[in-house]
Amino acid sequence: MKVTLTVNGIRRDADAAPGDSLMDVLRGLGLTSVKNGCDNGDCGSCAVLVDGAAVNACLVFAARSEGKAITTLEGMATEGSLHALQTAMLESGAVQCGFCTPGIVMTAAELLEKNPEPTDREIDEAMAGNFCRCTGYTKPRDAIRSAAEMLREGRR
Amino acid sequence: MSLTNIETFVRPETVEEAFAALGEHARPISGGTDVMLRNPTAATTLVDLMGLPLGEITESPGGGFTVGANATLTAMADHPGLAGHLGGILPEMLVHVGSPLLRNQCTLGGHLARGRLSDVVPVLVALDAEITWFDGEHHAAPIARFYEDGTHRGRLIVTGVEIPAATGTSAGAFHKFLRTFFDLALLNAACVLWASGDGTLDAARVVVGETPSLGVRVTAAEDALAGVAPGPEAFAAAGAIARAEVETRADSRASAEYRSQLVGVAVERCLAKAAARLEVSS
Repeated sequence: MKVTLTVNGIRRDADAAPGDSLMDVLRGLGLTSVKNGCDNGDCGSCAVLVDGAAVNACLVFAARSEGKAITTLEGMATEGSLHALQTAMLESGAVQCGFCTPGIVMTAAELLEKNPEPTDREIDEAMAGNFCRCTGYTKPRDAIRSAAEMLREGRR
Repeated sequence: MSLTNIETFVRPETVEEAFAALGEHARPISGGTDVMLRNPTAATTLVDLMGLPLGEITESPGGGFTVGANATLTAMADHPGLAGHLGGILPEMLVHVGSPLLRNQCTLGGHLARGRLSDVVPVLVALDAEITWFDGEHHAAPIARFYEDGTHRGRLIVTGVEIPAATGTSAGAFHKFLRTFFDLALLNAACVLWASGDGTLDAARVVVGETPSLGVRVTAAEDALAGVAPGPEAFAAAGAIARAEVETRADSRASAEYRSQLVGVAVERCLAKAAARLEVSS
């Protein structure tokens, strides 16, 4: 079947089987920031935004996603400049092997959209579904706090 | 995870169309996470329920709520009226159901239709909620009965939940025994307390879940709490009654004896939390 998705603002037609996950279809479209960490909804490395809500793309049927706005990490940078979360992740040294980083950025993007000034506890609760196998949790938290500040001050 | 055995994806627009599309090889999906994970090999058709007009959460003028089956768990936790109902029992419970990523995708209807491993059910039982469903006709029943008599195993579409308005001076609480932040419950408890004007309790709901039952009321403990002053002694006594009354199960994660101990502790702690909220609200 054909599935028409709006990914990062662009209409994309994909050949997909009716049982295909959004993760597999996005990866097939070349959007390889959507990482397959567990294929089980546990790790969050495939997190993307669907109509602004961060979800595990491995547990979403692609056919369900027609007509919705999908954002992957590839859509976060605009006009050649990184999103504040991407900048903050780099500046805070929050990227180790990098595998979980796209999912962390997408989940954090929803958090900061809903809550521009989260406490550390609110950050931890919001990020509870994103695992880092390098066990680096403190620096991503620092980065999210720093990105929140950048966004509040209008810096990217 | 992609399901390789699925050949057809159906998008009905009414609950009648959706029900007609169900069958031995056709599974309903709403959030779809559970179907994706369980990979039912007999299924060749998916019936997408998210096109049905069941996404709304509405608050009635009297203070009750209708929660449509397609409301996500996040939408429930974020709804100002529901979040504040009986002192915040719903968000207190929902924060421990799956991860935020899962709660953005999982729907109330899908969760209730699944009918296993639930923190939501004991809370809804404590809130005297009714579940509504369609199986060719529309039905409504107390949520505990829906599971006790096996109705949930039939071919049906859950359409929503009705939560009655809070009455009197009342507050609720939820308590869950878990090993990690969003682990499945080893055991959980939900309760609601009503205060009378004279410093005693007017009434109580005490519910224990994940026993083998998804949510069983302990009426003997409820009766013991009515008319007594809230406090550690009364709550310990209610916990002891619950421990004696509630049958527990054994599995790879905990023995029945261990769960039995947890019943008493969970009920006691849950009641203490609800009583603290009652003091704040009265």
